[in-house]
Amino acid sequence: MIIIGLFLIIITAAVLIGVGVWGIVYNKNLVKMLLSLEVSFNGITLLVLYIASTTGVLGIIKLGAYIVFLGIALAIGEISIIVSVILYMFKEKMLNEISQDEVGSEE
Amino acid sequence: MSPLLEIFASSVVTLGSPFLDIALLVLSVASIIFAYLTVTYKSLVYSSIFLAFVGLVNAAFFMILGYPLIAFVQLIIYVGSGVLFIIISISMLKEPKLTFRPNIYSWVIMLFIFVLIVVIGISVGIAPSELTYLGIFPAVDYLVKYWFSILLLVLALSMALIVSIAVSRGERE
Repeated sequence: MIIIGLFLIIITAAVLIGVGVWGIVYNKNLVKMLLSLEVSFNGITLLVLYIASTTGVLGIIKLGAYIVFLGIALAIGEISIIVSVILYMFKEKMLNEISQDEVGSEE
Repeated sequence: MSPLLEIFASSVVTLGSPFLDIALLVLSVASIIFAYLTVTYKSLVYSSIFLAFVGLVNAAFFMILGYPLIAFVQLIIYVGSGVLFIIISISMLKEPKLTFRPNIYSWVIMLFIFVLIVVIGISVGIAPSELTYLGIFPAVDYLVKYWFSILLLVLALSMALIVSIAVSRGERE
């Protein structure tokens, strides 16, 4: 019999956070670092909702949803501002090439 | 049994249906693979698309955990606007050569997604009475409950939109 539990979600969330942090350290590209940050963010939201849902306390269940709701809203604001700043830097020739690995460094 | 093993055993809660358990396993593996591809893929556009897939899988997780509203928000706002914004912004800078070349892999992936949706749909088995929460009245209820979050969301998105337009135009004086 296959027994796969909700514990798998914790493992998935941990792996997502780890992969995201690894990507932030590994990549030199500004956009790639932002994407890695978003992967980490997805893992954190998953972990928060899992913890909130398994407590069984109604207040904490609602609080988890509340926190994640706020987090998603703020993440969208962060994405739009950071991407716009990167585009601006690219247009102003502060960045050489946006699709290569050397975005963050001027040669 | 060691205490650590007891904690692990108490944390393992099956979902009741083997179909849903298998779907959970598949979703976990897919999420990890997409996350890895997001971080390591060379092309930024494809990397963003993989991030959108991570968001989609996460929305499925939220649905399984019992948060349909958050799943909808994740789908509509995060994947639908945020990640799409990244994709469009990046593809405007340097036009990638996106060509549609259906090969065996695309058909396999399409079949996989189809089977996954069917498995999840069969295993969840929403009863007709449970469909009522999709109506308009609970939505109003959510608006009343989470009014502060929604207010912050509107303010944050408005501010982000204004800043984005201003920065993207890059006009001085």
